Parts: sequence; structure tokens; C-alpha cells
Amino acid sequence: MAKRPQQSLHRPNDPAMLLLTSLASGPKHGYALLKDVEEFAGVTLSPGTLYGAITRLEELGLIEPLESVERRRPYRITTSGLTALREVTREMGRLAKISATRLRLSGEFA
Amino acid sequence: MTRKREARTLLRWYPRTWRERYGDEFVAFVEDCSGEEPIARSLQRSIVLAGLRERCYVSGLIGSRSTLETQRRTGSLIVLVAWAMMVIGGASLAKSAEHFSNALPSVSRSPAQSAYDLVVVSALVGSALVVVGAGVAVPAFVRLLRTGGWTQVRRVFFDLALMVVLLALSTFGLSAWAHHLTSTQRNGGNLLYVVAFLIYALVVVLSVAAATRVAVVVATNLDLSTKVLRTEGYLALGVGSMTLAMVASTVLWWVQMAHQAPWFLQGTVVGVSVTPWSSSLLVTPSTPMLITSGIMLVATVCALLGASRVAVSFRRAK
Repeated sequence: MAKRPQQSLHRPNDPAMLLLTSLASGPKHGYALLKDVEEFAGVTLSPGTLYGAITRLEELGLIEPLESVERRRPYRITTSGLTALREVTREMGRLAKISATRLRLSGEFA
Repeated sequence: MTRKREARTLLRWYPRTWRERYGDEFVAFVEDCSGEEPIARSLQRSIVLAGLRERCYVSGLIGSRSTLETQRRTGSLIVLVAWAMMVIGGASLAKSAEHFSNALPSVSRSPAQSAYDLVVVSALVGSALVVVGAGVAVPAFVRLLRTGGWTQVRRVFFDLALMVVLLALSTFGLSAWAHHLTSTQRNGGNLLYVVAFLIYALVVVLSVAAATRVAVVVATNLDLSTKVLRTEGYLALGVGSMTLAMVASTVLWWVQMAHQAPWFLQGTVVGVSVTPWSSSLLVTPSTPMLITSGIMLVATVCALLGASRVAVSFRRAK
């Protein structure tokens, strides 16, 4: 049985999840993705990991390639990708709220 | 070497289909990452590992990205490779265990003999299953040849033919020589013969490897129907079971020999040995026995890996 795309994005630091988050603000090519992820998540993805995630996301239909510009191919998030990202973000938000309540951090996660 | 060429070289670690799709942009990306510097060692290592991982994914060896058919085909081929190793291990065992019953007291030969017979029966059944598997794929192979597929497999067949000729010549030569030697000379007394026998053993191993390579290359290029792949999968599970049966019965035989004639396993003088059940039997067997155990162990691990891949593909199909 085929897995739902959301099932592949189970962790907030999952490279695929980081790439979707980055692409949610607009199309980017590999190096721009790497730099953006570094900036907002503080995570440096290795080339193998980055392109492994790009391959996986493209196979799942969550991102799609655009025309190459000087050998650098930008990618953009698809409608399915946005749906998956929204769903996973909601789920993470829900879990974060539960954790915050139990840790009595309700002010920060209200 | 320029950075671009260096990146292109590293790209070869990835499978062809991946290179065709992502190659150019990946090279540009690696150039961007390196700036004006040569590609760092850590970056190279990361690319190599990622390339190998991608190959494993594409071939169906790991993960669930490939189709169930690919996973089943790959699993079956791993079992086939494991069986080829087991054939080598089994031949090595047969040579190492030559005349083992003479080393046992006549009243207690039965358990060891039964265990050894079980090794032989498992080997025969496993080989029969492999032959059936090859037979099932024959129609697809004929189709491949009719559609001009010979060019894809020609080279491996030529390599095998070369090895078969070499094997036939060396078998003939060694047999002719052995007829002129005494039993003592054949069993270590003549150093030149020992060297020749070791070379012969290498030729046998290379021939089995060449035959297995032919099977793997041909099977990879065949257009197999779902039904045929299912049959091949079941046969692979059968071969995997026979591999386990061979190992289990070898262990039984080993235990019996360790109990009744430990000097036989150690390759020392008859009657001179450690106490039966001594732990040193586990760590100081003779070199041929050690090699045999090693080959069989690796074969078992591969068989388990392949069979589990096939089993998982059946489970996912439900």
C-alpha cells in the first residue's frame, strides 16, 4: 500500500519538511535552498541529503522542477505539497500545544 | 582536476537514471557549495554515501520507493548470489570434511553422518530450486534475445565462456598431475601441488562468480511478468530456507565432530586435541574450516537479507 505524503514528513527536522518549508516562500534552486534552510533552521544539509530529499519530494509530487537557469534548476512547491505541509504543520502545532500545556509554557504557545 | 570534472567524477556513484535527471544541476550545486576551493573530503564522502544509498533505493534493496516487482527481483537476486557463495562454502566444506567418518569411532558415526547428509540434501534441493528458477525465466530470456537484447548481455557470456574453458583446462591438468602423486603428496606433501590446487580453487570461485554475474545481468534485463516474478520470489524463499538448512546441519555436524573427534576440526594429529567441548575449538579451527565457516556465514547473512526483501514485497502486496 502506498504511503501518504504526510507520513514521510514526520519530524520537524526531516530534510523533506525543511525543504517544503523553504519552498513555501517561493521557488528556489539547490544552493538557495541550502542557504535558506541554514538561515531559518540552523541546519546545514549535505549535498547528498539535500538532493535525496529533492528526489523523494519530486517522486511524491510535492515539489516540481522549473526551467533551468545556467544549469541551476529551481523547484517550487505543488498544491499537494502545500496541503501536506499545512497538515503536518497543524499536527506539529497541536503536539507543541500539548507539550507546552504539560510544561506549563502556555504563554509562549498560546 | 577542475572542480567541475571532480564533481562529474563523484556523480558516477549515483545510478544512471538519477545522473540523467539531476546530474547537471547537481554538479552546479556542488560547484556553488565549494566556491573557489577544491571539493572538501567531507563533501566527497557525503556524495559517495548518498550515491550508494540512491543506488540501493533504485535497485529496491532498501526503502519502499521502488516498485514491489523491483524489490522482489532484487531480493531474489540477492538470494541467488548468497546461494552461489553457499556453493563455494559447501564445496570447501566437502573438501575439508573429506573422510571425516574415518576420524570417528564406528559406534558413534551416525549423528555426524546424518548431519552431513542433511547438508548434502539441502544443497541438492537448493540447487534444484535454482535450476527451476532459471527454467521459469527461459521464455523471457528468449524474448530478450529476439528483441536484440544479446548486446546487453553478450560481454558477461563471453567472460563466463572464458572462465569455463580455463576451468576445464585446469581440471584436466590438475587431475592428470594428481594421478602421478601419492595420497601424502596430494594432501600437503608436495608444495607445488598445494599451490596449484589453491590456484585451481581460485579458478573455481571465479567461474562460479562469472556464472552468477551472467544470471544477475540477464535477470536485470529481463521483462518478467508479475506471475513469473511471484514464482521467482517463492523459489528464492525456498533457496533461502535451504541456505539456512545447510548452515544449521553444518553446525550440527560441527558439534558432533567437536564432541567425537575435535582433532579433525583443528587439523592436528589424530587423537591429539583439546578436551571435547573445549572453547578453544571455537577459536582455533584449521584454516580451511575457518574459511568455510566465514563463507557460509556471509552467504547466510545475504540469504536472510534477500529473503526478507522478498517476504516484505509479498506482505506489502497484500
